[in-house]
Amino acid sequence: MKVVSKGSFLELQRFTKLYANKWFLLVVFLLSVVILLLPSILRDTPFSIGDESFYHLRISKDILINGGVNYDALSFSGRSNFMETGLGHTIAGVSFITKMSIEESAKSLFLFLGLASLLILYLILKLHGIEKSFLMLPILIFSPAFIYLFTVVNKFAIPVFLTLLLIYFLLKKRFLISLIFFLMLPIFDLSYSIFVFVSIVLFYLYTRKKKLGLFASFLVTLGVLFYATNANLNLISDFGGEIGLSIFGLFIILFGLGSLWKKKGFAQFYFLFFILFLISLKLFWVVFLLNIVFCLLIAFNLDNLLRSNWDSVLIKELTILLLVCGLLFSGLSSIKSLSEEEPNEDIFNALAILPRESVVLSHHSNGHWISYAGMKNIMDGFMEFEGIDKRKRDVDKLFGSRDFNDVIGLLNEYDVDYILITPEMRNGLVWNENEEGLLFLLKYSEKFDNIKEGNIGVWEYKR
Amino acid sequence: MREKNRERFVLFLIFLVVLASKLYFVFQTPYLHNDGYLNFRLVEHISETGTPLFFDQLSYNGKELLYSPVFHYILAGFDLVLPLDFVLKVLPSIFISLLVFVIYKLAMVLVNDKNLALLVSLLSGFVPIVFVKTLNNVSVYSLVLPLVFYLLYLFIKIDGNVGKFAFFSFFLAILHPSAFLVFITLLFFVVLMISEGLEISKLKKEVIIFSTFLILFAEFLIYKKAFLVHGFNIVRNNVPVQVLTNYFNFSFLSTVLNIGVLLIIFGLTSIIIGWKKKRQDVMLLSSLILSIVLLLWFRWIRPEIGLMFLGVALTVVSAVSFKIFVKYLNKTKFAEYINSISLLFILILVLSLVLPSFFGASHSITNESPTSYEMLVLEWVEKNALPDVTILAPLEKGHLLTAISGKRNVIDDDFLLAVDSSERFKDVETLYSTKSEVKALDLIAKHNIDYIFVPIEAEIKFGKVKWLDDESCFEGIFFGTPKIYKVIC
Repeated sequence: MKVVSKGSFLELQRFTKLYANKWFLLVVFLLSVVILLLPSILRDTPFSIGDESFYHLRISKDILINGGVNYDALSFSGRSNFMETGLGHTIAGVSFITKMSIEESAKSLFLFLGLASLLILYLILKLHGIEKSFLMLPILIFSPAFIYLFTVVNKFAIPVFLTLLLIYFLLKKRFLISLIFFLMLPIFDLSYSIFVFVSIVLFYLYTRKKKLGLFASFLVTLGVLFYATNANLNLISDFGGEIGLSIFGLFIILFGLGSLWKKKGFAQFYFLFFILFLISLKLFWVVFLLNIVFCLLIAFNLDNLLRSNWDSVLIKELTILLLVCGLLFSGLSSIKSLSEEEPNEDIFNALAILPRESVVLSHHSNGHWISYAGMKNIMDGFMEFEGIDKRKRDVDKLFGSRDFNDVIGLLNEYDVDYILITPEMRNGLVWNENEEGLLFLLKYSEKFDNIKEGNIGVWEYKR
Repeated sequence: MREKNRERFVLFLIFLVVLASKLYFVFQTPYLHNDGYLNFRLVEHISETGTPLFFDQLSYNGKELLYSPVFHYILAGFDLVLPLDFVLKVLPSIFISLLVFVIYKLAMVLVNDKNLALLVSLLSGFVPIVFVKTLNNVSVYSLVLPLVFYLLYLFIKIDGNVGKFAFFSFFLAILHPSAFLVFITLLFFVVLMISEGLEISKLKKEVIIFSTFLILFAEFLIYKKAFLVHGFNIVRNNVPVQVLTNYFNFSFLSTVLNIGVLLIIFGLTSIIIGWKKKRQDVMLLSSLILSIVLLLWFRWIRPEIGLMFLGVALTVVSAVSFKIFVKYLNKTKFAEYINSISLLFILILVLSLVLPSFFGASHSITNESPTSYEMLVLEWVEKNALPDVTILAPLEKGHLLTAISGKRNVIDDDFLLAVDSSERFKDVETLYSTKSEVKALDLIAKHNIDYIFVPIEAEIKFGKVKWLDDESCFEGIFFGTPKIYKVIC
C-alpha cells in the first residue's frame, strides 16, 4: 500500500520553495563563510595549513618585496623559479592593496574565491533554470574537496574559479570574455589550462557529433591513465584522502544510478563523473572539478528521493536524515582533520634559533617550512628538479648510514649546516629505531652538537 | 490455544536446555576464557567510572582503543545489581541462548511446521562452533548472532515490521561492525534476485537503502579514526601478516566438525532446492552464506566468526530439506514407521551436534582458561611488581596478563590502531623461540620489557626458553607452569 501523506506532499512543496526563496543564497553564503573559516578558527596555531601553502606564501612575500621571482635561493638550496607565479602575484597584489600581511591576504583571497565560486555556480544553475539543482550549493559547501580548495593556500583555487567564470560566459555566449578568462589560466597552472582546453574541444565535439565526442573523451582518458605518472588512489576523504569525495555521496549517486539513468540528460552527468573520476586517479587536481559534478549528482539524487513516493514514510524520513547526517559528517570530519593538520608552532620555534640562509637537512616534507622560515632546504615537496634522483639517493644514504666518512662527505657536498629531526621522522617516516642510521652518529659523534633538545631536535654540524 | 501454549512451553524448554548446558560448562571454572579478559576490563572500567576506556595504558605499552561500548554498557548495567563475575558468565550465555527463539521464528517462515521449527531451534543451540566460541569469553557475538538472524527474519516479514527493523538495524549498527555483514548480505540478495529475474518489493528496496546508509553512517562515525589511519585496509583489522596467514588454515574436517556434517548436507540441499523454487527467503539466507564464504575467502573475517554465522545459517536453511525428507518418507513404505524413523533421525542429528559441542566446550574450559596457579602468579605480579612495568607474554595471554596483573603487555589481539603489529608479533615470537641471548636482550630493550611470562602454551609451542638460564640477567621468580622471570641486567 502506498502511503503518500498530504503532509509529506506539502513538505515537499515547502522544500522546493526554499530554493526559490531570496534568503536561500544569503543563508548559503553565510554558511560557507562559517565553514571556510572554521578550520583556521579551530587550529591551535596561527600558521597556515599544509606544507605547499608555505611555498606560495613565501613566493608571494618575495614578489611583494622584489616585484618578481626569477631565482629561488631557498628551495633545494637554490634553483631557478620553476612554477607559475600567478598565485604569488595575486596574493602579493591583494596584500599591496589592502596593506594586510601576506598570510591574512591569502586567507581573505581564498575566502572571497570560495564565495565568488558559489555565486558563479548559482548563476550557472539559474541559467539552466533547474531549481532543484540549487540543493547542490549546501552540499558543495560541506564537501571535503571544496573545503580544502578554499581553506588551504593552493594554486588551483583561482583556476577553478576562472573555469566557472569561463563556463558561465560560454553559456551566455559571451565568447570573448570567456577567451580572456581562458587566457588567464596558464598564468596560474599550465597543465590545468591544457586540461580545460582539451575539455572544451571535447565538449564542442560532443555537441556536434555525439558519438565522436564520447569516443574522443575515452581516448583522452585512456591517454591520461597511461601516460600520467602519479597515481592518486586516495580519492575517498573518509578513507583518509585529504582531497577526496564523501563516501556517503558516492553511495547516494550509486543508488540513484538505477532511477536517474533512465531520465533524459542525467546519463551524461554520470558519464562526465565517470570520466573525471578516472582522470583524477592520475591528476589529483581534477578532483576539484569532479567534486562539482559529484555534488550536482548528489543534489539530483536527493531531490529525486524527496519527490519519490515511498511505501514507508518512516523509512523515507530516516533515510533522508541519515543522508544529510552522512554528508555533514564527511564535511565536518574534513574540517577537523584540516584544523589538526601540520605544521604546529614547535617546528617554527626550532627553526627560529637558526641563522637565515643556513642550509638545513630534514625530511622533504619539512622542506617548505624550512624555506618559509628563511633557511635553505636540501629537498622539498616540489621534486621537479634536475638531478633529483641523485639527490634522493644521497639524502636516503645520509639518513640511513652509520658510516662516519660517508655521512661527512655528503654533508660537506651539500653544505649542510644544521639537521632538523621531527617526531614523525623518528617514528616511521625515516627511522624506526632509536639509534638507526644517522641518529647513531648524532648521538655519539662529536661532530654534531645538539643545539635544541625536545620534541623537535636540531643538531649543528661542526665542520 | 492449548496447542500454542504447548509450543511455547517446548520452545522455552529448549531455551532452558541450551542455557543449562552452557552454564554447566561456564561454571566448571571460576575464571573466564583467556579471550574474555579484554571485555572484563572494559566492563569493569565502565562499572567503576561510568565512562568507557578509550585509551588503554596497558595494551601495547599504551594504545588507543576503538570500539563500540554498547555491549559493555549493557553488561555494566546489570553489574549494578549483580556481581560482575556472575554477569560476565551468565548474561552472554542467556543472550546466545535467545538464538533458539529467533531461529524458531525464521524456521517457521521457511517451513511453516511447528515441530520442524522446534527441532531446528534445538539444533541451533548446539552448533559446535557457536556453542564453544561463545562460551565463557564475554563474546559480543553472543548478542550479535541473535540480532543478525532476527534482522533477517524481520526483513523477510517486513510488512508490519518496519519500525522494528529500523530499531534493531540501528542497535546492531551501534553494537558491532558485524553490521557490515548484514549490509553485504543485502547487497548479495539484490544481486541474486536480479540474476534470477525476481522482483524485490518496493518496501524491501527501501529498507535495503535505509540499512545501507545507516550501517555506513554508524560505522564511519564509530570507527572514523581507524578508517582514516588504515583506509580500506581496515577490513584486515591491522592483523599481523603472520597471523593473517593462519586465517585460512582450517581443514575441511575441522569445518565439518565445527558445523556438523548433517547440517552441511541438509543445508546445502535446501539451498539448491530453494534456488530451484526461486524462494526469496532461501535466497536471503544463501546471500548470508555467500557473503561469509566471500569474506573468509579474502581473509576479511576470522574463520571462527565466519563459521559461527555459517553454522547457524545452514541450520536454519536445512529446515527446508528436513520437511521434504519427512514428506518423502511419508510417501514410501516406511511411512508406518515414520515416528520411529523420525526419532532415530532426530537422535542422530542432535548427537552429531551435541557431542562435538560438549567435547569442544570441555576442551576450551580445560585448556583455554587460566589455571589457579597462573592466576596466583599474575596476582603476585600485581602486588609485588612496580606499577609501570612491562611484561612479555604470548599474544593469547595479553589480555589476561593486563586484566589480572594490571601491568603493561607487549602485544594482545586487539590489533586495531596498534603500531607495527606485525613487527611486534615477530619480535614476541623471536623472543620465545630464539636461542641467542644477545638477540633477546636487544628485543627486551626495544620493548622496555621488565618481566618475562612463560606460560605452558609457549613452552609447548617453542620449547624451553634457553636464554632465561642466565641467572646474572634473569631472576627466576616462579618455576612451575607458568614461569616468570625478572630482567635484572
